[in-house]
Amino acid sequence: MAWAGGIVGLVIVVALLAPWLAPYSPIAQNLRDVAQPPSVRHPLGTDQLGRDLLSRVIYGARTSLVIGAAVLAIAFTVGTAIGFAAGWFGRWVDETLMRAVDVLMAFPEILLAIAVVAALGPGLANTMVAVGVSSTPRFARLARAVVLSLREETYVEAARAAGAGEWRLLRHHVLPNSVSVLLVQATLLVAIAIQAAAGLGFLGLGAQPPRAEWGVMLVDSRTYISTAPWLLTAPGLALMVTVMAFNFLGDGLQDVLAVRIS
Amino acid sequence: MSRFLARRLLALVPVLVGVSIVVFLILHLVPGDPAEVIAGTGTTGEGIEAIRHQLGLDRPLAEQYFKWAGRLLRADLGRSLVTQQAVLPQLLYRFGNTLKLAVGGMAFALLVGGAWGIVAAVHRGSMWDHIFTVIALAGVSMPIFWLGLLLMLVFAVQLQLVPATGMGGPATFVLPVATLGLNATALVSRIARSSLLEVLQQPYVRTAWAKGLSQPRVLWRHMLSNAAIPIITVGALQFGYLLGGAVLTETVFVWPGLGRLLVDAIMQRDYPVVQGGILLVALTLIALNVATDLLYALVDPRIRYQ
Repeated sequence: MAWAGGIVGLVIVVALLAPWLAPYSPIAQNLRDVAQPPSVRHPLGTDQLGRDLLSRVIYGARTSLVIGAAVLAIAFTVGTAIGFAAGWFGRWVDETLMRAVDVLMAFPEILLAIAVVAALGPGLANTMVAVGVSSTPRFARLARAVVLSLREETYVEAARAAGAGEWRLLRHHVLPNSVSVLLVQATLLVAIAIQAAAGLGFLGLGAQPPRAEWGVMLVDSRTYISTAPWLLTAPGLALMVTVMAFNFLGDGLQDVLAVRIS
Repeated sequence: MSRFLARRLLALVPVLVGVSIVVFLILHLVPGDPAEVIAGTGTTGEGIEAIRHQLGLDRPLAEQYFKWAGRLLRADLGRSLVTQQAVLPQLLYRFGNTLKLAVGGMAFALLVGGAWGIVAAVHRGSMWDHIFTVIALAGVSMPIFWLGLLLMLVFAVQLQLVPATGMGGPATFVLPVATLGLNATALVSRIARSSLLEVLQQPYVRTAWAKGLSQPRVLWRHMLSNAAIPIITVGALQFGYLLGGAVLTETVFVWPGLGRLLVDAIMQRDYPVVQGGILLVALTLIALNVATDLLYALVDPRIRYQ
């Protein structure tokens, strides 16, 4: 888990310091250095427009993390709110909200994201909304399950007996105690979000060229697969290692926090 | 059993209505005027008016939905805005191509993932078990389209063993099926391993060993038959994920499947095709879930009375 945390930290630092770390601009074309294999001047080579691949991979970290953060913000807030409301108030609130969640879960996540993009149109901002929406049902289910189990805890009962109002119970007793479960899920969600957004980028429905995004970079690599195979190694590897680091970190957190998710 | 079936099907009605509303809304969440967006630039006011009329966008929203849903019930998904042809036959043809990939990928995942899980469970804690665990976790994190590109680079471009793209003879199936299958293998192997490990601790397995039965016999007769149910269930649930992965795989290998059709339709703002395609996949998954539930109820009578 330590190494996974280390990689996640590294990706964050690279994303923050991208302008200082990248040797070139990620979108500057240099038509005299087109599709060059790795060299001293361009450690990862250049692409079909002579853009420095290392710089694009570095800036790609920025794009992916911003997407991950935005998706997390949407899915976490909306999902937790829905799940808490359903689990806490029960009865018709629960019924209504969970039926809606069931409907959204009838679609495979990537397909739901594609459906949202189909309505809103391709692009980076819409990708964040799309992946955020498609990840919300999963979060809502989990938050509801957590609340349902916490609701029966004796300390909640005690607080209620002591005269605490619904809002106070939720804020001071349920929320703090569900943080560890939600934190694990949030870490795993970032991995899913980054992968899904790259998938949309690869389909041409996500981030648009010339933006440096790992999925978009892989589309280009397909065209030049026989003449410039180095184009497909670096972005794919960056994507996989980042996703894997978040996945391992989530698994590790789950063990450390001894979280049991039903 | 028939009561269970009736209840299960009745519970389906709200989900189906909900799914149809979501799919219906795709067109209506388009920012601005959908007719103008579909028409694109350079279309005159009359052209836009014609599109609005063809899609019924000039009617009240509720009326539009009920008309649309009514046509759905008669299996009429409308006509493509680009080719003017009926959507359903086109979708079904493409969906058939996608299913070939998905079924092949699933079979691959069950065979390879199953075998892998058995080896890992039988040799639990060994070096192989650890290596498999790491590979499986890496496999889950590997973007499916990158896996496809790597396989293409090695087996089509460098070794030139199989064609890189397109759908044709059996050789064209190798790379897309392997891509989809390998992606699902990681998860299937994990489930196979954990459910076998659970069965391993059951008293009847201990009894079988104590009777002096051979290892293959215990494994096949006593363990696998009991561990198979969770594995197959996960397999069925994985199918939806597999259909999602097929969209990306089809783009990598230029496979004429439903996923590719959907993405192209989105680019061309061909909304009837987009809506029909998404609906088709959702309905397939719902049917699959019901089938899995029924299978469960058949196997475990307690479920019928919950």
